[in-house]
Amino acid sequence: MDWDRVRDWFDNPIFLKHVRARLRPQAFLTSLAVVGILCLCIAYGGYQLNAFQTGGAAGTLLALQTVLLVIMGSGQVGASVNGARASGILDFHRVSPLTPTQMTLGFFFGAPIREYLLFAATLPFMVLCMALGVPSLRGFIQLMILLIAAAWTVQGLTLLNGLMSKAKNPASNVVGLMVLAWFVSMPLISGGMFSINLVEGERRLSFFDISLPWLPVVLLYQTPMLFFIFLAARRKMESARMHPLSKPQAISAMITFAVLVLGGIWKQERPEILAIVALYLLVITAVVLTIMVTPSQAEYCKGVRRARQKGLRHLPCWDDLSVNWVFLAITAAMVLAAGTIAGSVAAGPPDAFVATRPNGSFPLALATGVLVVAYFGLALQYFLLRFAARGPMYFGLFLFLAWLLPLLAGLIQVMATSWRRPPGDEPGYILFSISPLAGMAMAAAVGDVQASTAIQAAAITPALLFTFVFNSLLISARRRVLKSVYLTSAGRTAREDSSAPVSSVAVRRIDEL
Amino acid sequence: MIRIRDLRVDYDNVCAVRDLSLEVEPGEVCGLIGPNGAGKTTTMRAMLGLLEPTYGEIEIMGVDVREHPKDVCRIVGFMPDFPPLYEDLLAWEFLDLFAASYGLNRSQRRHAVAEYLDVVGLTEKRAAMVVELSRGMRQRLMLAKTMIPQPRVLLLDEPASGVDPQGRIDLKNIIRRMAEERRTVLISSHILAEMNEFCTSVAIMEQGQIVVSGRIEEVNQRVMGDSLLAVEVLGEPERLLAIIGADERAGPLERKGSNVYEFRYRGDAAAASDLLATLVQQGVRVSGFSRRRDNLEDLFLKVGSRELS
Repeated sequence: MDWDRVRDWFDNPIFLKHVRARLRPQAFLTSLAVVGILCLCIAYGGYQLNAFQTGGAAGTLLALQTVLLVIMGSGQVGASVNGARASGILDFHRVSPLTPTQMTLGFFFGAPIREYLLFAATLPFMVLCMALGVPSLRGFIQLMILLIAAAWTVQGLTLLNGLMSKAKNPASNVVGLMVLAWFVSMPLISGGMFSINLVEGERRLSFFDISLPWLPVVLLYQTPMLFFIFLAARRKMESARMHPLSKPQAISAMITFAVLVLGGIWKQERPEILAIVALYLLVITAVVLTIMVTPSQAEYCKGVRRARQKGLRHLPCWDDLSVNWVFLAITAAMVLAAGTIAGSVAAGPPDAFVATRPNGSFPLALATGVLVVAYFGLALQYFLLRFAARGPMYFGLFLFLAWLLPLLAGLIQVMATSWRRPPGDEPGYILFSISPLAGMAMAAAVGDVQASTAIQAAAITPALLFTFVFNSLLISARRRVLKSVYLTSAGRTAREDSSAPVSSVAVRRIDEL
Repeated sequence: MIRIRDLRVDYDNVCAVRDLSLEVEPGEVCGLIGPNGAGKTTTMRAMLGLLEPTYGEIEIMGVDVREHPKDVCRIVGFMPDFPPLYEDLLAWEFLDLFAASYGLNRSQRRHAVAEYLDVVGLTEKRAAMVVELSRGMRQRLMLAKTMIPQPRVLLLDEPASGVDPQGRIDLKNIIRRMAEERRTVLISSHILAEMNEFCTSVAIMEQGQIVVSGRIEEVNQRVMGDSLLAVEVLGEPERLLAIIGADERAGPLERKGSNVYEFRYRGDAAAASDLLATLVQQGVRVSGFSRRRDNLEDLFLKVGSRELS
């Protein structure tokens, strides 16, 4: 084993910083005493209530470990990186020879170092539980792997959130953490008891119709997720102004996610439900990735100026500063392809939908989903280009009107008239289906509501309309931005050479595009 | 050496730096002067790679910042105006953290931390928590952190703000020593009188552009045109008045005291020296002779007012 490399790793300055700051004897020993006393209480409770055999003691201990690693550890990661960013010291790390990977790992493993050691202190009590009853050694190992994988995923998300969020006040994170802890503490204990017994059985999961033990399948899903979270965190660690993922990386993430979704639903039971769930997951993923890669007006203008300086007409379409048209086309195509596969291979017979839901149309739901991905990206890009800093606010308003308002209006309508009409024959359901949140499922007739033509039309029409409208608006917004960039630069040129007509220079350059 | 060509930095929808070009030679201490919002800090952050320029080239010691940002990190030290510190560390731990970031091994780190704590006068505060340090002490700690990797180029953004008089003297000495060691120093400050004492060149910024730059003597000559000479004579001043009146480079004489006369003189230090020699040869009894170089404050005010007008 190369001990120098191991020593180098532990010499990671940011990791070392956290070790020093978070393991000062007074604070650390106090926490250790609290955790030790809690573990003793659990052991005493287990002995008194005879809970070692039933798994109650081990489940409670697992809940404590989850609180330590997942909740407190993640809170520390978020608070540490957010604090470093807010104070500006993160910039010092950025301009030091430390690589973004070293920085990311330093915060990731360093910030929760106290929680890792407190977690280690609970392990002897878990061994005691093993010795006196549940879990078995195999179950214990499986549980610990799962717990650490879950903790890393949540810690990775809080690390990314700490690097991306606009709120720079770590105190707000602490308040959020307290609220989170309050709401999840009870389900955690019951979940812990459930998990202890769950891992004891021989459970298997299917991936692309291959039956595998449950743990590898779970890790198969968590590993790519953790990889892309780490990739995004690494980019944000490198530069605050970078997008979390580049366009090619986002497309890779979309492909990976589509494969995982298809693997999970491949030839499973309840195909109609799984296909529509897969569609929703694909659309949500596409939307999240679109948000990550869409440039703001300032970024786009910078890209145009940079391209001009290089003598190019525009930057390559995969550049961070380019508009998201090509990315959207690829992403929507992937949703279409993966959705089509999901609809056809989720169940054996291809006409399963027709058999179960005479009025439902999964292809229509799929078309709606694809159009939703397209118009979401086009609208986001339009609002950002046209309204600059106010763009996100107007985009939020648009989403409220297009996605939430129909749900509210539909709910009121259904509540007001449900006693008069049979289910599925209501204007309320038509209103519901205008929103893509419900529209995709209703077009495929999932649930108790039969999909009438009106419902299907209401689902797809807004999506189609918005796609064309926002595409046209985006074209004009882009021209407007280009015009302002060229007018500015042409104005400067004209000032330097008074014979140059400003408007003609700008118009000629816009026409060149 | 710092070389910037056609740098433009857009900050959201604001053009913070516009087509800026600047060169600072090794051993030079260049003062970057300008009002708030002129683009000084943005320029420095772009030089560090913290801000991505819209376009333009930045080379530090021949290394392109955009192409090789991590190589640049090893040769540049940066000290911001309001130093961010890890408040939950001890003073020596803070320095050790950054020494480790620059690849120093444990023994080198121990030695470097002790040395630079001594240089900035914080040896006694070695084991103090950073949160307990005063503003000035934090500034000194940051200066020590900046010097630990022994950078070839130093970027100092308002380094003296909040520092006590002794700290300012120490800072001046450190900067002079850096210049003697042929390191390049770019320093932005509002305390122009102090910069006057150690800057060898100057770049004045207005609205994201460099209005004037060069060695202080040259810039003075270009902007102010002439210097101010004061001559104190014993006895009757007729001969002095005749000689000065005949010199085309001298402006009108102004009597400042009983025997002190001041006038603007359009000539460099050598010309002023020749004038003094002529006065003495012609029998003028010169008891005092001084040539006042206009300071950065005058320069800045003159350039600023010219730009505004």
